Amino acid sequence: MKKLALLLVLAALVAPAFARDVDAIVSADWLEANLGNERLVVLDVRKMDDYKAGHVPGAVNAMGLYMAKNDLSNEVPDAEDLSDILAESGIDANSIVVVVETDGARFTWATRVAWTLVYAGVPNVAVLDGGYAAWTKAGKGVATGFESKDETEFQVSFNAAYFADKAYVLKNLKKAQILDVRAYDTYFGLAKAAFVAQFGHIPGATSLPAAWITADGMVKPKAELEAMVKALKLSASKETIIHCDSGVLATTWWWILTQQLGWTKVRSYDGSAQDISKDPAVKFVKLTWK
Amino acid sequence: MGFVVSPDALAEDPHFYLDCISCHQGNQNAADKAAAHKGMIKRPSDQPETSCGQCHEAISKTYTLALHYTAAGMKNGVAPRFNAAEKKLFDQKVFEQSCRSCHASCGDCHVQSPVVSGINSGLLDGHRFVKADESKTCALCHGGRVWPEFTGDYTGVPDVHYRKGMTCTDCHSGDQFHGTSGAASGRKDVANRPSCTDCHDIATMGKDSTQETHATHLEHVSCSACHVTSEYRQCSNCHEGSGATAKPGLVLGKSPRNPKELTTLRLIPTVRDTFKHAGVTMSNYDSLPNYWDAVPHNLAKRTDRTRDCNACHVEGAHYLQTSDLPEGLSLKNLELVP
Ligand code: HEC
Ligand code: HEC
Ligand code: HEC
Ligand code: HEC
Ligand code: HEC
Ligand code: HEC
Ligand code: HEC
Ligand code: HEC
Repeated sequence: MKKLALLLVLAALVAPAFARDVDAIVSADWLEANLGNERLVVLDVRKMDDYKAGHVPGAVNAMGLYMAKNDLSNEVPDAEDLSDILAESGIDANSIVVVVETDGARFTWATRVAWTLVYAGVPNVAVLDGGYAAWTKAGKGVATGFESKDETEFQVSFNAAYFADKAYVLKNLKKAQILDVRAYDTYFGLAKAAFVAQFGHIPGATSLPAAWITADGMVKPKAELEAMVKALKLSASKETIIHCDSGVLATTWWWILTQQLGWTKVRSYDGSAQDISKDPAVKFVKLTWK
Repeated sequence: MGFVVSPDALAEDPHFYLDCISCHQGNQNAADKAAAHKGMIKRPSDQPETSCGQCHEAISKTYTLALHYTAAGMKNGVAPRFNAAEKKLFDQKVFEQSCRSCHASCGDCHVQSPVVSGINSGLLDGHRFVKADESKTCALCHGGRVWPEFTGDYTGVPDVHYRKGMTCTDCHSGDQFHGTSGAASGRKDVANRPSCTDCHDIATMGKDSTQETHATHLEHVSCSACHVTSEYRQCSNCHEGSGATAKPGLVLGKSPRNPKELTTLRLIPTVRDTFKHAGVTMSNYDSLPNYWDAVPHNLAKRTDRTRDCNACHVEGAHYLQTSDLPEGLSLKNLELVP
């Protein structure tokens, strides 16, 4: 009896923490083939005018999934508002959601939305590779105007383990594996965004630029992404915190590591450098030529 | 490409039963450009009664009374600040030359993008006459405030109506713009302007507590005072010719048109020397405030105020305070402090 219990525990440990019914990144062909799936919600997050001018047939539009709050540029909306937006888009916890952004250049905004959804308790979310541009380039069908789906009763239930706030980062500064996904120049302290208070990076952070994920706007093959992480000697078993300047870029590697490569201990730091660089207790380090 | 007249449009749109010259004048038979364009009218619908009026008689007549054509709202908006002599000078030197030039022709909403600061993106759809194309028309003239507030470009949060797929003309009708309710001296005079309660029946919608809140405040607080979600544009230091500088803010105060109502105010500051370079002074400057009741177009169901009654009743959050009033502006502003 004891043995069986142990086996069950082991099985639980080996199985991924989530059961995905869809790949983390899907192609235009996949999407076209699955448009008939009743669980599918195509979530177009482009500007309303662009959406109305042409979108994936059946897609609904949603805006306001990230917003400026408490002096930070990109934050998660309040639970009630996020529940409304998702419910009105016809999404519930059982949905398979495909996020559609403009193109590969907006991949970071697509993962920002995708992260927000899984954080809010919708596990089966995918990003359309190459965005709407890839859809039209492949000559797929297009619908115009405004479409809607039946509203659901969905209420968000946040997955605290996907999210890092400043208190968490400060507490785990020494222990955690911190990944800085900004461009090299920013990491090294040669450049910085105006809204970030310090040049350089959090002490001990490893640079893993978001720009490495895509080539020509398309996500690189899984094996290649895996190889990068391996080459940097990053460990899937360590507590990991990903950050960038304002919490958007960070979600790219969060998406790849957790949803594609199966890492389970990764948090995205929403406030990112914009938040922590204001804390005098954290002294960013710059590259020196000595 | 924006100026190219598309052959499809010519074939499909009934307006091209007419020759180009019946609207644009010029000489159709001339061999070179200069001769052909002699006497040409670039903006035929600026004189609506003689152009569009041939067929759209009623609209073209009433349109000459509409605010978009007369710009009377802007004119009357400052008029009380002048004495009689100053007013005359203002009308000649500033209004006709500067303000009235940004009035709209029919074509600015139906044929081509309006010219704003000398720039324009051309014909809307190969010269087709369209009912509405807001992102290429309204968006340009109202690009300073309303449009970016509505789409969320200004502060990041789109208006709830935009999220539901609504655009300007879902609330603002053709009749409102065509002046069918008669001459107006300002926007509050336009009888067929929209109102929130045209579509929202506050007596029946929402939870009981929502109905109660709405009933209690109906007379005292405007819809936007509770439902505007984020900061909107506040202008300052406006000088004729060089415009104003702007920063975001959410300001609640007494409506200058109805002191019993708390509403959203927008700072539109004609400063004391706004028209100085045209040689026009304002002897009665202090007769009007610099804050005006506005309906900022970034509404949401929930805001810091709908969540917490104390935001107003205890903290007076966003309330205009005497200490916030920019220095040197109208003394009348003091009366708007709640
Ligand atoms: C020779 C007659 C004629 C003249 C002149 C004319 N129109 Fe029209 N207009 C029409 C007709 C016919 C229609 C089509 C009515 C219908 O479809 O019901 C029309 C329709 C329209 C529409 C609606 C288009 C749509 O998509 O439904 C607009 C807007 C319009 N006209 C604007 C103008 C403007 C602005 C002018 C002046 C520059 C003008 N028209 C001059 C005859 C004219
Ligand atoms: C050529 C520039 C221009 C265009 C195009 C334009 N507007 Fe305006 N609009 C103005 C100006 C200037 C005023 C102020 C007029 C006044 O009160 O003197 C105004 C006033 C208004 C008003 C308040 C007065 C009223 O008519 O009730 C509304 C509402 C409005 N515009 C909406 C729109 C919408 C919606 C569109 C697009 C369908 C649009 N405007 C297109 C310049 C423009
Ligand atoms: C029914 C009237 C009508 C007819 C017929 C007509 N136009 Fe126009 N056109 C307009 C209006 C209205 C505008 C927009 C300017 C305005 O607001 O009045 C315009 C604008 C233009 C412009 C842009 C002008 C600029 O520089 O800003 C071009 C070019 C033009 N028309 C070419 C043509 C040609 C070529 C034809 C004949 C094939 C033609 N139009 C026939 C009414 C007309
Ligand atoms: C959901 C309905 C709705 C939509 C959509 C809407 N408006 Fe309005 N708008 C109103 C109401 C209500 C008022 C207040 C009318 C009054 O003065 O009492 C107003 C007032 C205005 C005013 C004058 C008030 C001011 O503060 O300057 C302008 C200009 C205006 N709207 C432009 C636009 C434009 C441009 C769009 C598209 C981006 C738009 N509106 C979309 C409902 C709407
Ligand atoms: C400020 C913008 C604006 C201006 C200026 C304007 N219109 Fe319109 N017009 C509208 C709107 C909005 C509609 C309604 C569109 C809809 O229903 O989708 C409309 C509709 C129309 C229609 C379609 C039939 C109808 O009555 O609904 C005609 C014809 C028309 N306008 C002609 C004109 C003419 C002629 C002028 C100038 C005399 C003019 N418009 C000036 C905004 C404008
Ligand atoms: C032309 C009709 C129209 C006008 C005018 C209008 N609205 Fe709306 N409004 C709507 C529609 C349609 C919706 C979406 C309804 C829904 O999904 O429940 C909506 C939604 C809303 C919501 C969100 C409700 C929810 O359950 O999420 C608020 C708040 C709101 N409007 C406030 C206003 C205010 C304040 C004004 C005046 C400035 C206004 N509306 C003017 C039609 C209108
Ligand atoms: C004193 C603040 C206040 C004022 C003034 C106010 N509201 Fe509200 N409104 C609320 C609150 C509180 C709610 C409930 C929000 C919630 O459910 O979280 C609400 C909800 C709503 C809703 C959504 C109703 C639903 O189905 O749940 C609409 C639409 C709305 N208001 C429109 C209006 C209109 C139109 C006006 C002006 C006539 C107005 N409100 C004035 C506080 C206000
Ligand atoms: C946008 C600011 C604002 C918000 C939010 C607000 N109120 Fe008010 N309320 C006012 C103003 C202004 C008045 C009228 C002047 C006064 O009596 O203070 C008023 C009046 C009242 C009155 C009536 C007092 C009388 O003498 O008629 C009651 C009761 C009230 N509010 C309760 C509430 C409750 C409960 C809430 C939360 C659901 C709330 N208010 C939210 C601004 C607000």
